[in-house]
Amino acid sequence: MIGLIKTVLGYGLLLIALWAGVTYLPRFLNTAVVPTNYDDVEGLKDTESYWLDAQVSPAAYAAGDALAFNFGTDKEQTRFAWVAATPGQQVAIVNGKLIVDGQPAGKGTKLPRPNQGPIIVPEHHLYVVSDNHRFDSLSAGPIPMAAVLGRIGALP
Amino acid sequence: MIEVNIPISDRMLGIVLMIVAAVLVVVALLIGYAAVERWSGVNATRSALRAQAQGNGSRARSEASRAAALLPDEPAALLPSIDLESPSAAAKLLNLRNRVSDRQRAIVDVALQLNHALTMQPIEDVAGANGQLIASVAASSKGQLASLPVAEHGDAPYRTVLECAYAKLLQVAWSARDAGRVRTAAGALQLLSPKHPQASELMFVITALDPDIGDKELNDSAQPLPPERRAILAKLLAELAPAHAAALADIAMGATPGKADPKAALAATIDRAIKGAPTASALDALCFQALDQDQPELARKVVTKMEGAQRDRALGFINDFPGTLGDAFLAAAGEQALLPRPSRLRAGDGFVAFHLSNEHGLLPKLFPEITLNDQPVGAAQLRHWGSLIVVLTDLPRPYTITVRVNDHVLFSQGIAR
Repeated sequence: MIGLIKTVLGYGLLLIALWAGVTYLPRFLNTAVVPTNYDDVEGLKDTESYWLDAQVSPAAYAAGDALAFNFGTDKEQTRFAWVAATPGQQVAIVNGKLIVDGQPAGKGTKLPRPNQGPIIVPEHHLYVVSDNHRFDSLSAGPIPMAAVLGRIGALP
Repeated sequence: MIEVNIPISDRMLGIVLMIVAAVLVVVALLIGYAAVERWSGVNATRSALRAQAQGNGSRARSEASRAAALLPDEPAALLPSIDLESPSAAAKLLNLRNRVSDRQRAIVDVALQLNHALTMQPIEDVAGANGQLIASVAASSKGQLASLPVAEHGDAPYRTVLECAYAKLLQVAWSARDAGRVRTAAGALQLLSPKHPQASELMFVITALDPDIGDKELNDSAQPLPPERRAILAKLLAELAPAHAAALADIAMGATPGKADPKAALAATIDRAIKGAPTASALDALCFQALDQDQPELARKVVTKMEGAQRDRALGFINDFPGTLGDAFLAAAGEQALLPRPSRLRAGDGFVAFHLSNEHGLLPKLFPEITLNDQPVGAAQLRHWGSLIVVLTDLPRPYTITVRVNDHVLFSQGIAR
């Protein structure tokens, strides 16, 4: 009888270890180096490694969320940005300002370009902005969810 | 030696279990192979989407083809590899529609209706933003000017449908010379796809059609374009953007707005041309342009590259018309190439515009007399930049515009409603 209990407990512990590994191990492996100096985002001088929550469903992203994305497989090319608009929202540039659904977006400095839009953010895409706009949606358009690596859990 | 006596029934059981194990191994291998194939297909689909977002069309196409080969029954993998503008795409889409689940059928239906709209076939109703955009594509494909639909909050269309609607509207608006719609569609397309193959052209168009933009910004937006393309686009945009027509005329000449020196620009062009291998017609044009600028020495420089009859004819012009060639437009009745002719008229709200030059790009030195419904047009109603003439009018359509030089009617045309 004791032998049977020991066996059941052994298998139980093994299952718990498996579940914990599958659930938590990706969080430790899934990290992105993001800059902490927002004035020089691309300089990557002051950076920290952050866990990415890759399990976030596309519908769960909201304006203001920070995320990491990459258009290829080179980790050096991982970019960092904030979500400005989600699918179905309207985005335009008016008088040098990024406008989302008629309201100025929280992030985004004066943009040196003529008025453009509005466009509707397409299905399975996010409109993202970073500080200097070199690699965000203003230079690459709405990014597909296929390029999103995950939401950054905590911001510096 | 120890003999092991295993009963026959146990041996049979062992053999059966071995066969079962072998079958299970084969099944496991098949499942593993299918899993690897599916993983590769999903990876290729994601790569195609990322490449498309980056404006890397060739990589997007090759990745989409790889994904389609690996996952032929998955709409997400197969659809990017199908050319929706091709009439043959309909058969592929119908075939795919019959193979997919109900949940996936909606996206195939959208693709099918988009294909119908692009190939000018009747379209069926599609719900939401996709449906509005497909209706806009259908109208544009028939050459009708549509408005960009504004989706209700939260109703997101597919990116391909959106891009197609903007591109088609831009095409139709450009042909119709509708400056407002050109600006709207080009702005939307550029905002959606900043890495579009014609992104530089789009930015130049948007900037030129913004009346509040300064000359410097306009010039900066033109610089990424190759010189020939820049010149052609600047000339075409001058008709659509009267507010920037002077700056665009300078940009077309390869000069900085406000600092154009036509003589220096032509001398540089001729120097470049004679170092290369210009065509006979290009040499003709350069020779006449030099004469038109009272620069016979430049014209003679061009003549050195000419041969035979062309050379004799050009020398004849240089000797007969040492002064301004423009005054001789009408005198040279035998030389069709010298007669001024108008471009297609562009009529907009409150204006009608056209270019007037001969086939070598020379402008008449005598400013033409212009009448609207036989009433002379005063100087206050005229804007004139290079070959472009813009007549401002508040006359209700229809009306007739007539252009004469020395009582010779160059053209008379009705402006329809």
